[in-house]
Amino acid sequence: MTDQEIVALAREGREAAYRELIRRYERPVFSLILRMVRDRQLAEDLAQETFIKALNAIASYRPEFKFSSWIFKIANNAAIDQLRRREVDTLSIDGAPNATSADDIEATALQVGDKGETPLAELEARELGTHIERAISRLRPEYRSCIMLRHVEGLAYEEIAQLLDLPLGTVKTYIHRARHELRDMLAHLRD
Amino acid sequence: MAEAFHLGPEELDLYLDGRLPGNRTSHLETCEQCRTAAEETLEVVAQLRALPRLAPGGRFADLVMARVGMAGAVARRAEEHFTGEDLDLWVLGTLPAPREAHLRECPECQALADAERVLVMRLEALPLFDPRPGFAERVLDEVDLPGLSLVGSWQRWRRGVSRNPLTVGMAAGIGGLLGGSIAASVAWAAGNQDTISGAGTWVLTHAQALFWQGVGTATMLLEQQPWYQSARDGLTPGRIAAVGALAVALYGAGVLALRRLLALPAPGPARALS
Repeated sequence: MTDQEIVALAREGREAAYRELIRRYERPVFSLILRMVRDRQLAEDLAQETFIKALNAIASYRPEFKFSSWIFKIANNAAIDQLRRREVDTLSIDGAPNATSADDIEATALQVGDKGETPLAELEARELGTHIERAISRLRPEYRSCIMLRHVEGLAYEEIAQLLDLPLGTVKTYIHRARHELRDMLAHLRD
Repeated sequence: MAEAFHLGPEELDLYLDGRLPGNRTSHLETCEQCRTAAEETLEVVAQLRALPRLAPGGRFADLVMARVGMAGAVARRAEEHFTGEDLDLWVLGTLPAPREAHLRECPECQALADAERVLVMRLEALPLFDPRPGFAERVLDEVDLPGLSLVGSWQRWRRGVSRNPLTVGMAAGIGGLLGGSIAASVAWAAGNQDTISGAGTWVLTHAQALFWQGVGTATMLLEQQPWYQSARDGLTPGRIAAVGALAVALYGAGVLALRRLLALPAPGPARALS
């Protein structure tokens, strides 16, 4: 079933359709926001806010646009607004900024998934994940959202431009610069 | 006078485009002069369209490129190091041949392209994170489902209540209190049938006495009014029937007027979704 068909059912008030939309997008939306704000509790609140806003306004959703673009747009706006309101500088890969105890740090730190690798490969994957997550977190927020939407969510440049209300050329520039900065930051891993 | 209706140049254009209005087309059928003009115009246009397309000399493109400086630009571009756009095209596998050639020759760009490929692979392999369990429930508690049924409302309310230990405790307390009171009432009533029955009889007797006392007082007051006797004398069966019919007619008219005032508007055209 396509997103559009599920949205049509949601508009009829079918709770199962709402659940399916949440099931499909909770991880991508939460991951995008988490990598933007780098605080698990804050990301959880913003992801929840994103879905509540989107699902309460489902009647005003225009089916000619992709649902994914629409929800990512709301999520990105929520994250950017939050970053503008509060400077969140500490890397949550090491725990939330306000985490002081070992338990808090453990609870709020980003967890890179176990993909069933050998202990050594897993260690390397976690190390790699840690380095790349750190590098992403050092990018400017606008670069960060562009690079996440392009390479983690697989959106086309045109979609990102539409979603972020930016000219296509600006989006390309942001992504090229972001990749350039990431390459530089991760250069030591290639040696 | 007829000349005033001949086809003008703009109408001939419309005729060529097949957009001449019907009344002017019928003019063409009757007016020799306009028909001749239209046919001649059609013929000229057909001849113009049949003119052959002439090809420029073989090196036309090179000559133009040289004049606008593109040949140099293309040559320079082939020598330039990779840009972000080139890397995009390379990752997508759509790099133009001159740039492919440059990549093969340039170790610097090869290193850049390799780093880019590794970076893109790492980015695409980034894991997705899960929110805490119960995320959907927490979202749905705050969402107003359109056309919500009573069952849906009840389920949502129950979901909300069941997650908060305080509300669960309060609900259990209120439920216990209500259930206990009802059970105590039933137990007391079962053991005191005579008291309940005696109280019921006393209330009924006194209520009847009060009712008839009120009726008697109202009748006495009515009879003491100065207009009562003349009104009573004037009441004939015919007048009573006429007053009754008038009251029924007024009631009917009132109901009709009210229905018209309260009628729902007829469904209009569906509003376009914004």
